[in-house]
Amino acid sequence: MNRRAFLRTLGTAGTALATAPAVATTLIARDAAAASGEQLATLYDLSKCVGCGSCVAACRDAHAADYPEPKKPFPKMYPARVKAEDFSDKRDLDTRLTPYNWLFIQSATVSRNGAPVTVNMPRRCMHCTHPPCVELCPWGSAVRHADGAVAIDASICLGGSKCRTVCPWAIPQRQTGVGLYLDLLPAFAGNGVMYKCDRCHSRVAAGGKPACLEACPYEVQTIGPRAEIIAAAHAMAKSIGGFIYGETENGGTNTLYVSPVPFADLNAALKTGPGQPGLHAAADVMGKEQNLATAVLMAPIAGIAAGLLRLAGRFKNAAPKEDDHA
Amino acid sequence: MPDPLFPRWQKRLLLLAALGLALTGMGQMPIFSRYYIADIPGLHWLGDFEITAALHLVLAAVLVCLLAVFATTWIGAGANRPQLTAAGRQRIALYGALAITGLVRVLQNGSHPLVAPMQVRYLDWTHLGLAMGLLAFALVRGRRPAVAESYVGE
Ligand code: SF4
Ligand code: SF4
Ligand code: SF4
Repeated sequence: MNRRAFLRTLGTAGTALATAPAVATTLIARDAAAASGEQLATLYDLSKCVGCGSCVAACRDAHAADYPEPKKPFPKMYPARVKAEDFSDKRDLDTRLTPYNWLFIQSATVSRNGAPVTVNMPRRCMHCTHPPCVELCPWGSAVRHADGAVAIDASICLGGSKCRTVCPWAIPQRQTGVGLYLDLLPAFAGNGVMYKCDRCHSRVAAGGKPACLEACPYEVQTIGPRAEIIAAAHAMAKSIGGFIYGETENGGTNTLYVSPVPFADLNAALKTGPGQPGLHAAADVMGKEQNLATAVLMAPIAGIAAGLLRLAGRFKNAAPKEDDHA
Repeated sequence: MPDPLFPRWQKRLLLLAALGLALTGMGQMPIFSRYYIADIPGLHWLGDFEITAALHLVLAAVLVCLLAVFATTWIGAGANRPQLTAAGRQRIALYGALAITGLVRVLQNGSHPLVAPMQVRYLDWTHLGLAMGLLAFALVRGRRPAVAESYVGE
């Protein structure tokens, strides 16, 4: 390679390096995925929900075969701080999320224009567009399907509960004594399987609708492409002078709530705790990683450019010698 | 004398990044809290997924950049380039495959998922397996040189 050709190469490398950030940013442009029209979202009109619980019952019927049947006694866990989480004797508990209850009704009474207003809220997984439970699961057992439904594969989940730790609403719930960890290292790795709403992924994939949506006598919930659902939520909020939750929370979710009262007021009046999520302004967990992800995608290009610069330096150092020979 | 093809500080940085990646990679599994390691004063951050995931990405950028520098200079050195030893080729294969599976995983979390949702597990398992492989390799063959000693440029 002669010197001029080499410098041309360097020029090309410089151009590549200059355009790399844009390319890398496009590759991880997160909102393109949600806006693609493929993802389905659901919309809850909370002004219509009477808290009858038909949806909760329908969910239980639809998923009866998916609930865990743990083996007892549970394997002894090491170290002792690792506690079993067992809901198998509390299968009927419906005041919170459990491995046997993927949907529950939360209620709060707040004062609005001097009058008390009670709002009933069906609560389940929000099906985030950038779900930390999926993107941070080290084992690939939490997945987000192309239609936006987020599901945990019970056949390979080890129950380490990282998904619950990183979920802004701590949604997934653990049942000990069931799953793959029993066949691996029951005392040392894993602790069961995590369970949560999968938005009836198999029903929807077969052209159906979520069981809870179908069962509601008041048509509280609708499902459709995310962009349409967002537009519908805004129209609904405008017509009742209401408020939206889920459009931007945790970077956007595929579950939107419209309420006649502010969510901050509801959040303050809610009873929260394990299995009872709040309605706080959840920051975008995965959004914080975006710049770092861009850096990783740019790294090979930066490395190639740096390598070419090194070669150019060596070439320059070696060049006088060659000239002498010439 | 020309600059060395692979300066020592870059090789040291590569080792440091690799060790950091192994640590923060292990931190992606919920084990540091479980085994009291995050309870040790000064090591609390090992139990914080937000911190370990961010550090894993930072170190990955450093590692991938260095690998690209080495590959470019090695290829560009032409006839001058040092010969790779068998251990060197194995090391390159492990690092390369680990970096590629990692880059694909980064794309997966963006808007260009290359792998179907139910297949991501195989990507994760391969990445994990390669990391274990590199660790085993470092223990067994770690001290073998990657390039032939006879190379005169260094
Ligand atoms: S079935 Fe409908 S009205 Fe009844 S609790 Fe569920 S969402 Fe509310
Ligand atoms: S709400 Fe929690 S469990 Fe559901 S998708 Fe979002 S992060 Fe995952
Ligand atoms: S979408 Fe399906 S799994 Fe989720 S709460 Fe409704 S019925 Fe249950």
